[in-house]
Amino acid sequence: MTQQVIKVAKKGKSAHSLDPNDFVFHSSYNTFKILKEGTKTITLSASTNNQTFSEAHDLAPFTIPIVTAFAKRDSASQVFAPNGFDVELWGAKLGSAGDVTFNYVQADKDNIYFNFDNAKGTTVAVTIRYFILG
Amino acid sequence: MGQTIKVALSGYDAETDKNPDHFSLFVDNDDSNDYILIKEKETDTVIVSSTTNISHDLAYIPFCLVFAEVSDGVWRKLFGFPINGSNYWFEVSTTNLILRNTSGSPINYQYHIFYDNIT
Repeated sequence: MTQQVIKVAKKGKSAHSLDPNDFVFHSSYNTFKILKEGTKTITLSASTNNQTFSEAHDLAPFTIPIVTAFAKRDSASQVFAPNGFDVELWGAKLGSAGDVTFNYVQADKDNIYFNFDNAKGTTVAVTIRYFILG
Repeated sequence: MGQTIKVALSGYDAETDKNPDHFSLFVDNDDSNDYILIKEKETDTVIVSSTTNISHDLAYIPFCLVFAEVSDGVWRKLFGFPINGSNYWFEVSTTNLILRNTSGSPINYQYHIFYDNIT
């Protein structure tokens, strides 16, 4: 039986190419899908490290989902990823560290967990944008 | 004329809507933004004690996602060398996905290697 394939090559590339990078879409390869996305607003306690916040993902049939997330201080215009510092609005220099750290994002079968440090002596409002992929 | 396959999410008009976020499938090789759907090559779970090389045979650096089971049933998304002193990270070369664990205790890593060349 002949295999049925749906594929769309990049402009200028042949649809008969064997290189997966030549395609916008190829039905022979699983593509990543956003199963769920959302935002979560949190307030970091002052001068406290290792603060964890959770969010139910309601995707138990998919067992433990693939997650990724980005954080943004409400006072800033840029986001920062896990394993990264925030960078102050202005005056940031190469190698400088912010005072809020997004340590990690992780998940189990029920929840997504976000962990932060806050070196500031005041509370910090942060909005998290998360994506569950599959 | 470009080739297009689009499936709109409920509530959106596939013929008029231009926002890719409003589609479950958005494929258009005539789009100036050149949206590409990343394509999965392989995924697996391995126990990593210190350094484990996963050969990908692509001869370029592919997009990868890696997660570590930091406690029973809890999986953490990994990046490059960790700034907070934790012991789990990964690197990618033109031959291998390199899984690193300096904790001294073996744990499970789940990895996803995609065909998509990031260089």
